[in-house]
Amino acid sequence: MKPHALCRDPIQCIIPPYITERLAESPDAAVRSREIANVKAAVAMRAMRRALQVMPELVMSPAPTGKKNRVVYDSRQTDRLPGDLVRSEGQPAGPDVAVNEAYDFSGDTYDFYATLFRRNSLDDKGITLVSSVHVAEVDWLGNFVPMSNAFWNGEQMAYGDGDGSVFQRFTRSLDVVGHELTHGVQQFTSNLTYSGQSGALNEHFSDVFGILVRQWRRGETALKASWVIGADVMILTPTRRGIRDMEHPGTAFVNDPDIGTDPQPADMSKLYTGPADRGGVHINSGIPNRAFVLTAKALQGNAWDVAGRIWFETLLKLKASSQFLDCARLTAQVAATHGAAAKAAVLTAWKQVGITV
Amino acid sequence: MKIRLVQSGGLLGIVKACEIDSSALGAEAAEELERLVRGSGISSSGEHLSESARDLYHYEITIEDESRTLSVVFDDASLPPAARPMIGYLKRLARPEPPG
Repeated sequence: MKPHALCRDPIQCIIPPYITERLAESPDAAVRSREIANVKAAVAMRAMRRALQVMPELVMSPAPTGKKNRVVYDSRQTDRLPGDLVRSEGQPAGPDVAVNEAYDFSGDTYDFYATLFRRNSLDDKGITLVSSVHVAEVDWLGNFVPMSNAFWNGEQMAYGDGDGSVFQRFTRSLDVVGHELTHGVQQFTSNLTYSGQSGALNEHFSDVFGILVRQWRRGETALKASWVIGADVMILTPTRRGIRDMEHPGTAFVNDPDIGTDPQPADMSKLYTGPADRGGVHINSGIPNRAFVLTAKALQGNAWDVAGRIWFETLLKLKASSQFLDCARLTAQVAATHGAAAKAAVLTAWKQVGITV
Repeated sequence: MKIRLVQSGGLLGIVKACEIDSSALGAEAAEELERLVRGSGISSSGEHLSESARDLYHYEITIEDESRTLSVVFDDASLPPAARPMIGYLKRLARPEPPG
């Protein structure tokens, strides 16, 4: 008999409970022990699901096996977080595309960090990846409307469905999911302070690893890949190509009737120093973004191999208060350990955006 | 009463703003705006931003009337529920502008 150890919920199993219970009483010791183990696993899984529904804080604990552990909740077009549990690790895909995207793309991001950098989830201890989809916001009449945003709240990811005119659902983009999860990685590593230049670096690293997850998943080289963030969550028109262009900051959208013109500078001469956006964290990230792309393209091959590795090692060394110059210095130091060509590419790239180490 | 909203942040990171002078509105519209502002419960200046959240929208609201000028900053997580309809009203009118 083929074991059905992967079957988590007896209700959805092909073999009904009354048979598994019989098997647990089998005179054959091997059959008996296997069935007892299966019943125990099913009971544990049901208990876990009930606990996750009632006490989501329970999920902020390491996965027992050190593998990825994903849970997806549905906020059901309210602003309630996390919402109703709809999918947990190992469960098959259901009919809700947003749920499946949050699940799959969280998995891709986990696999990226685990495979390339031997990092076991955001905290390197297997922390559960929690997502809520269909998150909404309150309009002026007090009604809930779809949220045109995705965010990390310090414990989980939240994704809206978009307004349907500028934005689609935010789970649709692997680089957006990777971006949000990388905020989580940073929380357990550099924890770059979210304002001014350190905040722009925080945004920058989320863009870098968000886009690298996508390029890695698709097997795209630095020279062939797109460097546009968030094209998959936007309704594209001639005036808007995506959320940010890492290679050409300031060009992702131009004179767009809904979102105006991309405010990102491409070099230090146009550094934003005003108060909006916590001192321009999403604005000034364009400068280090361009430095990364220039580095990756100079080194050729896959951006995640050398450039991505340099940037990851740098992330582990940065302090919360690090500024652009600190990041430039550190990437150059780390690059030197990857060879003279890597160091030269990094120094040249930073110089091209106006930072001389 | 004059009220100005500057919205920034979010994953997109653009700045949108609007400024309304209630004396330039019709009586009904002015009354509605004043009701939303009163209902928001905002009564003092301050900055209230979440420590660990990322990519939330931020809202800088300046309210000016005969007696005082208030300026508050909230994000999506810190915005009091009572103030959400007022923010929703202002967001509808806000238009993109270059970051100031």
